[in-house]
Amino acid sequence: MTDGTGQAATPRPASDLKLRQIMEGVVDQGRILVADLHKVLKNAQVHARDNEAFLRPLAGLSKTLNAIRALQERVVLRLVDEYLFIGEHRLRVDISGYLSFKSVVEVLKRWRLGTLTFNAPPTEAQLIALVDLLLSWNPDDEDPYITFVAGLRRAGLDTITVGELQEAGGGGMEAGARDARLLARRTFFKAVAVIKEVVQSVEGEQVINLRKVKRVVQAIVDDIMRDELFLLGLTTLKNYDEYTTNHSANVCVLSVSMGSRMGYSKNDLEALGMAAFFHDIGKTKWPKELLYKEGKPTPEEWRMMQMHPCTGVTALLKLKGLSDAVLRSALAVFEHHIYWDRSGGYPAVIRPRDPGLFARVIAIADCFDALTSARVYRKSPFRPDQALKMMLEKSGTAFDPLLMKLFINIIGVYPIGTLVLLGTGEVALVLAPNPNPESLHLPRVKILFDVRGNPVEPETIDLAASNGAGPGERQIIRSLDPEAYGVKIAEHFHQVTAA
Amino acid sequence: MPGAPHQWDSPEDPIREARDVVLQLARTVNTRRIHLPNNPIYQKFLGELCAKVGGYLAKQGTLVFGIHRFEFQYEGEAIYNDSNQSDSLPFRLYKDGVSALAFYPGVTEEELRDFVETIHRGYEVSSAEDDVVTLLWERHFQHISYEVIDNPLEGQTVPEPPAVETPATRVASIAPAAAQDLKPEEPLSLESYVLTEAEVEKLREEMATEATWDMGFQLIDLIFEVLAVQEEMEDYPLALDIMERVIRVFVRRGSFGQAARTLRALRDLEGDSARLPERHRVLLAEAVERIGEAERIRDLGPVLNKGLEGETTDLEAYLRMLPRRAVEPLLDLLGEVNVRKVRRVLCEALVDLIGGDIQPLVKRLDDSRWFVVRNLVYIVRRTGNRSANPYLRRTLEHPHPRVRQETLRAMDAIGMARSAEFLLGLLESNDDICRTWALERLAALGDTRAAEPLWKLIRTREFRERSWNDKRAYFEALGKCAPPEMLPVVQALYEKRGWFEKPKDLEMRAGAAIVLGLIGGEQVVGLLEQGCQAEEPVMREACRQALDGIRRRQPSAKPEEVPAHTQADEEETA
Repeated sequence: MTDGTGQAATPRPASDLKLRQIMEGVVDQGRILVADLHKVLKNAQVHARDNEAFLRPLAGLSKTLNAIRALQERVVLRLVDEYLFIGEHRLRVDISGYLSFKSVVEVLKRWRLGTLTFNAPPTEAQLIALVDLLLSWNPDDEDPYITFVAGLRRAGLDTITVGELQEAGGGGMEAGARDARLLARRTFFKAVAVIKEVVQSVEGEQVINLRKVKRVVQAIVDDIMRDELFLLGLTTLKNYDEYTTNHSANVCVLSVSMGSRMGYSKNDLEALGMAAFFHDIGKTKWPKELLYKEGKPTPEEWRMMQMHPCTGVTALLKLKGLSDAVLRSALAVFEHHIYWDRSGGYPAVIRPRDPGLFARVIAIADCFDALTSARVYRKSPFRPDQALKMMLEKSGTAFDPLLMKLFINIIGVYPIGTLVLLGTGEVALVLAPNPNPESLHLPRVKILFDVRGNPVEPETIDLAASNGAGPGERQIIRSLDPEAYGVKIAEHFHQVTAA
Repeated sequence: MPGAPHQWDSPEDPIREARDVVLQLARTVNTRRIHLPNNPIYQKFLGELCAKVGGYLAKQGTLVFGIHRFEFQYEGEAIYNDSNQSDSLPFRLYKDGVSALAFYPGVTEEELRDFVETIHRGYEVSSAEDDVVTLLWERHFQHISYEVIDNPLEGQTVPEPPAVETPATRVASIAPAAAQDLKPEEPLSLESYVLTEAEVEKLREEMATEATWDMGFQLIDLIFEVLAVQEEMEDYPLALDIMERVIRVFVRRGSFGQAARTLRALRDLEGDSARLPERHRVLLAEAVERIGEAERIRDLGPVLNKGLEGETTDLEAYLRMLPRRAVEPLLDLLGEVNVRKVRRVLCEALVDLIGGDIQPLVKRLDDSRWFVVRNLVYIVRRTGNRSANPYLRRTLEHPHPRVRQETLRAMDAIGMARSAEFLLGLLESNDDICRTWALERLAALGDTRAAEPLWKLIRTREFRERSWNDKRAYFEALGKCAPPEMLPVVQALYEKRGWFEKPKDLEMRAGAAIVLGLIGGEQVVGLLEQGCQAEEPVMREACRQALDGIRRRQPSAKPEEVPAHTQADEEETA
């Protein structure tokens, strides 16, 4: 409804609009629920049941459950492929909620609970009984799910029901996901079109249509807040001929994803998205010969290239309304090549400065996309994991080490779009990172070739759920060069996102 | 005339209620466009809108309007039409792509107020920068939602993505079996990507810190970097123009600390401009000069008349950095600003800006506003410029006593008080302030030439009638400049007693005692010791003080100096 991308020419019925509103409320409350549950479980391990330090968060949990029940008949907390859902709505994880998400996911996984449903408002005593049951897990229990069901019965918790954890990919969210994919695809290509317009405006010394930029950035923010994976997948679509436009869209998507994970508000994400969108606007002033030069730039050309943050700033400052978002964009445009530890980068500054968070986020997104894209001077791009390793070498100097970690959390150790060799000899493509940071080396992949190199009917598997780490297991051994295997990475994501 | 395309039959009809809401919404938005948010008419309409929306939601649940060009629709029926393109509410929403609008139960008055404000802003914003949709998006309403379609007036612009082959049509060109021979790679360590709680906290703190950034300062720093870095930048004038705009905004806001910092940076850049190309140096100098233009200085007036909260140091710092051309408009401003504290700051800054050149000041000394003249004289005084002498003689004739007082201070400052001729001339003045001042200065000078005229003045009939304090000042002055030859005549006055001595006569004798004390000598001590036995307290006190004075001066016979002017005088100025 509020995505700004435009889905329908006629108004949706009231029920549809209402549904959207409810969904947003449920998602907000769902995140609070997870945090409350985490707090209650944590406090229950150190405080007596009649202690205020335990009872206070318990009351908070009860209140949140009631708030969700005001929007939905039942409260269903669902675990699917390491993601938490409230009903059908996936809960977004940001760094502030990361620990509580991780701990609740862990608790549900131990008991092999796929769903935890509150069919009626629980009493305080019932909530205490549930907490005690959740904390009674025994690592030697061979069938924890059955034990849990029996525990519910024994405690008289008949208004709480559970479902067993399904294997990866069994979440049954396909219909909603298809809509989100289509929205993401539409948003992405709209972003590319708007960037082209912006570039033309700057080249023609015309006023940039900021309104269009804002609208498309807002759509990117909405899509990423809904589910970042679809747009992240589209960033593998590298366009050799129109590198600058695709690159700006990719950097925008990667930056907003990072910002979203950092917990920025919608309006801050809009500002970050705009900054990323405009980060290379200064390059539009470059002569075409320089933009497409194959060889090494001359010192004079190099000097000119290093001025693009400055020319970018002046291009932005020509905009009529100097809003805070535009100013933050200008700041990030200026600083995005300055090293995090001030030890290098450009442009040269008169007063040493620490680049702001926006600039540091954009620096990482910019470098990653540049390294993984084919360029005039480097026909074969680096593989995503190679690029990541190269960037990690500069973590703490060029890049903010905390943001580097966060970035890896989003795209994975084997980033989305990496072609990998499994211990079984199969060749697979990384589709999504594991949401659990400690299992980032075990992403969700699509098997493309069997052990003999024959293309296979694509099968999506979750490596975290598949099997152990011994030889001959479905574990990643190393990444591969997709060109050597004739694999066009982007096509897979295009297909994935358009499915 | 906007209105309903249908007649409505039943008062309970939900369509009628929806129409009432939409009419009220349009009325409220239109009123807001004319009036300020605190206007009672607008407040009344807003209240009615809340009541109508609340009433509908309570009875019917969620309220959804379709929007089509000039119409609001309700369940497919047009309920409001306004085809005036510039004012039409449905058209304003439609042209930005809003195709439906929904209000949900729970919507608050505050949300509705914000919503009306947002729509109102939508009418104001430039279409190239913002539109209603982006403004609504940024508000993030909880109980109001909207549907958007793409550019209804511009047509579809989103290109279809390029067609690509599907992976199923491709075959691996190299058998990957050989991949099994490849060496396993060392995976990244957990430490390289797992964020600790402390790291998360650190990041959160940084985000909180950045949220408090003053983007004005950030912009300034940024522009200076750009100006300093990019020597050949074709946009140099643009960057300078932004700086000027920023300073102007700060000044109009009364943020003088920020304005001063910005101007300081610009001045620093100017000071360090030797390495810049000639053209840029010229542009930079012109930009600084423009900040002192009369129009810019006039911006200060309304802000300064509101008064300043707290310290005035920021304002003073800003004013002191203005270019020389700001002097004339700042002098104009002296007469317009009615806050005394601020005028003082203006004066101090002007002292710096004029740099000793009093010409811009003296030509304004005939100003009809006494306080302006007084401030100008103050500035003259602070310059210490001796050439101000003839002008100050003029202002000493000013009808307002505070101007004359200020003039006397200025005269002190530029050394006119050291001219005995001038001071003696002032003793003829009808103005008590001038005479007293001249006496004090004469006394301080200790010039014996002043003794004779002073004695003459003291012996007049009018002098006898003056207050004791006034008399005392004259006697003290006389004592400080009287030569020893005057002792007999003063002694005669001291000893002159009648059978029916009046208090005024007694004061004259007490004054003579003061003079004797200041002249000093063995003979005098004896006289004064006798005086200490007098019955009259005034006499006793005068003699005792005179004797004390003599004893204090025993090691050196020089009379005490009277300070030229005191700290209290300084504080009183301006």
